[in-house]
Amino acid sequence: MRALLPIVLILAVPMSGAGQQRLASDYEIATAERALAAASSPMRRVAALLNVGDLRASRLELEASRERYGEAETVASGAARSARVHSDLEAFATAMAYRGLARAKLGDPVSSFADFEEALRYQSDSPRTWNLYASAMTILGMPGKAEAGARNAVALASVRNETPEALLDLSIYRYALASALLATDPASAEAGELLRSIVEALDSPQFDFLRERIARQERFEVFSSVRRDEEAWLSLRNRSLLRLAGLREERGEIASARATYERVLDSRSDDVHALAGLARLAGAADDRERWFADSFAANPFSASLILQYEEHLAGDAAEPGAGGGESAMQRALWLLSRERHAEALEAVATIGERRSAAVSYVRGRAALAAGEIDRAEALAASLPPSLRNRLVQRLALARDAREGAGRLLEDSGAWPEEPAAAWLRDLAAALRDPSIDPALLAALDATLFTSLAVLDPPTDTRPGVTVLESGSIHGIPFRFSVPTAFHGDIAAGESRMTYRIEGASGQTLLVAPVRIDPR
Amino acid sequence: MRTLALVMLLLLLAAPAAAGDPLLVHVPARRALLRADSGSVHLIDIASRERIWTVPGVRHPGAIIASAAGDLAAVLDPIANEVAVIALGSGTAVIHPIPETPLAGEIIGDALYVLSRDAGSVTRIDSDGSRISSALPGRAGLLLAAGGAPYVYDRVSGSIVRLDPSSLEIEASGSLPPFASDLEAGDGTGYLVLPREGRLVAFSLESLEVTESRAAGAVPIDLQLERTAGALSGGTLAIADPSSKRVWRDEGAQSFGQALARGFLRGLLGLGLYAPQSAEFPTGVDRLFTADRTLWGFDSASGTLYRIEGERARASARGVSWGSFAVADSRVWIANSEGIESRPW
Repeated sequence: MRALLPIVLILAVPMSGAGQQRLASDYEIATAERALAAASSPMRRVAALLNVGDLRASRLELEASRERYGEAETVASGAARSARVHSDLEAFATAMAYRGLARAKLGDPVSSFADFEEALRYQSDSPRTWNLYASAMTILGMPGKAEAGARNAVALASVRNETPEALLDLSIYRYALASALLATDPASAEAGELLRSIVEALDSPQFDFLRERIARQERFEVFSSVRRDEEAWLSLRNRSLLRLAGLREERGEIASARATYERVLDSRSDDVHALAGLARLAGAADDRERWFADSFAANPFSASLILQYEEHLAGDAAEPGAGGGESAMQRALWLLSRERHAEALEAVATIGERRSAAVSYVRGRAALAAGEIDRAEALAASLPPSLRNRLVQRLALARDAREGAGRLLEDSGAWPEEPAAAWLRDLAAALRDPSIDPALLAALDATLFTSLAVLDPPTDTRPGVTVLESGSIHGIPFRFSVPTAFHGDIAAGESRMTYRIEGASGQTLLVAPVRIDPR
Repeated sequence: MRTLALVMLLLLLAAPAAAGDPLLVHVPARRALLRADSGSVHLIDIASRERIWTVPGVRHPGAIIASAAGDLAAVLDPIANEVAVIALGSGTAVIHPIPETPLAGEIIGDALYVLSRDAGSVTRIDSDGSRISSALPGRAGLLLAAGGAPYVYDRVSGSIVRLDPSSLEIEASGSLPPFASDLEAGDGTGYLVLPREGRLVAFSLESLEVTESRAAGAVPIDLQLERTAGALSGGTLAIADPSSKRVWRDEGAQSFGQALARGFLRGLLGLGLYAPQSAEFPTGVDRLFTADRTLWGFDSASGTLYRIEGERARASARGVSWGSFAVADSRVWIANSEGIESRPW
């Protein structure tokens, strides 16, 4: 039986489950819950609680994960007190270190740091305690502290790596060091060398016995706190390969990064981070859609996947479902990108009772689209930082648009007859606000503008008649509410156009043409 | 995990320096208390209990120190890597960025020396605000000031260096046993306690070589050198050993070095203050300090402050955090969210 060792995955925050869909982490949660029920000592209970909390957090089930971290903190406190009463200072220091880790996961840097200082008074000779410190500081976003702690752990463990167990421990400490280095420099050469050496060691004949045992037991689970050698080998290899792939991607070594993500999938075909990485690196559009579909099937509530997919949706993304593997969350995000907010809400309404913050994100986006800024703000507050930041950015744009609309209305008597690009962009932003002041629309309806427009090719031509539908002004796309027929032959390209502005759809202005004069 | 606790008690520990707890230190030369809160530092007159001034401070006060002369103080922030340097006379503060994890500080003359553990460096900050930093071997240090010079010990390697106080260049270096939990000095001798080995080690501050190494209880974690009142050369060694729930002392020596030798010759005459399972002393003492010519012990596990006199120890305060109290004028002063309360010993 090995010492408890945490491996911290900071690649991305994970997921939650849709409807009856079975998620990749369901089995791990069940296993960790069983370990929790069977825990025969406080510290085993703490480890199991932290694992369950991490798995819940990976599905954005934030309330459930915090509950587990809070329980872990309480159990560790009790264990520390008991250890002091029974004069077991070794157990006391270990309990303090684990309480520090739980507090780091709860986002409390001051208490976490204080706990580690107390633990290190007794255990400055323990690579495990320095490694716990490094892991906690990485979680708290303090890579300088994490790097120092990990270097101490590696230095202390390097003198005793003659057995496979000791080499496994040393590899875990090296992984913590690589994680800390990557937090400062995502292309760190030292981190790359560390990760490469870890994978090489794990795949060496020294661990044949472990690989055979894992194959015999059909094990695949990945945990953040590991106890058995099999768990340690599996989790460490998975995470080291993922970090190595990310590092190679960062350096632009695309083929090598892709091959490394595929190595992760060789061991575990439903790893969302590897699947999402392959979606990023896909050369063909069809491949990208397929990798995204597989990613959402593995974990539809991964924050990093959601953010990555939204960037993809800003381009020419296909409607999900065509390639199979559709999930409610993926479809909701696609619907949001097409401004079909009500349908997006319907889509996430099919998600079961699991309280994932990803659902709150979709609801926040929909609230924002409906002009309910206060509700969107309230929902943003419940999100993890990455999704919160994304929603807050959109909130800021919405507020700017509202303020811009007010200014435009104040100046309505002095609107330019030939509007400049910046003015049109401000107007388009204001028009996207669903709760726009009707007075602004009325003022627009009463105003004619003239601009040099670049017309798209006609959608229909008959002798003496040209049917036009869209174009751009100063690079800002516009379209007519309905295809409009004009007398005469009008070619695509520049023409002077007199028009009214009726609204905006996304980045596109909706205009009603009054007159077109070909140049 | 080598040892797993078998019994779980759902009692909360008092955090050693819990989040948001203010820090307090006595400044005898000004007959005042210096209090550090998140973002502010206050000087408080002991007699009137009135606030003399308030200056900006660091966000996460982790340690507070004041010079014996009462002219300079500093508050360290190990989380945000900042230090507030405070001129106590004028009531002005300057906040300096500092390398990673400033954990300990010493004032020598009119300069502040700060150890940044995770950067492996020492920074000297002068009264005019000028700064120099020096990188050191190792990232697990303890800082000590003795004979006008700073010393830094690396807990992982056991290396110790004496720095030139002006240039911060390494003046001398030595090799000591690693993994000590505390470092003190007196009468030209440095002392380390090694909790894992249960030993006390003495070394020469001049040569940085070990001069004595003796058994010192089960898990000695903290060391305090006591001066005997009125006798500059006299001293007592006190060692906190929370495992055996004892404070080991040797009294009446002519010097600390002699105390060490004499004590060990006697088998380290520990004063078994209480039986190990005593309800009065349930979790032992893990920190020692002297104030008001008295030895004090603190139990981080229960947040209990003990006054130790002879073979007796009495609880003077309970449920307090390390650093949030001070002892002065025969009273214990405790900073809390509502202000400062005091009570007689």
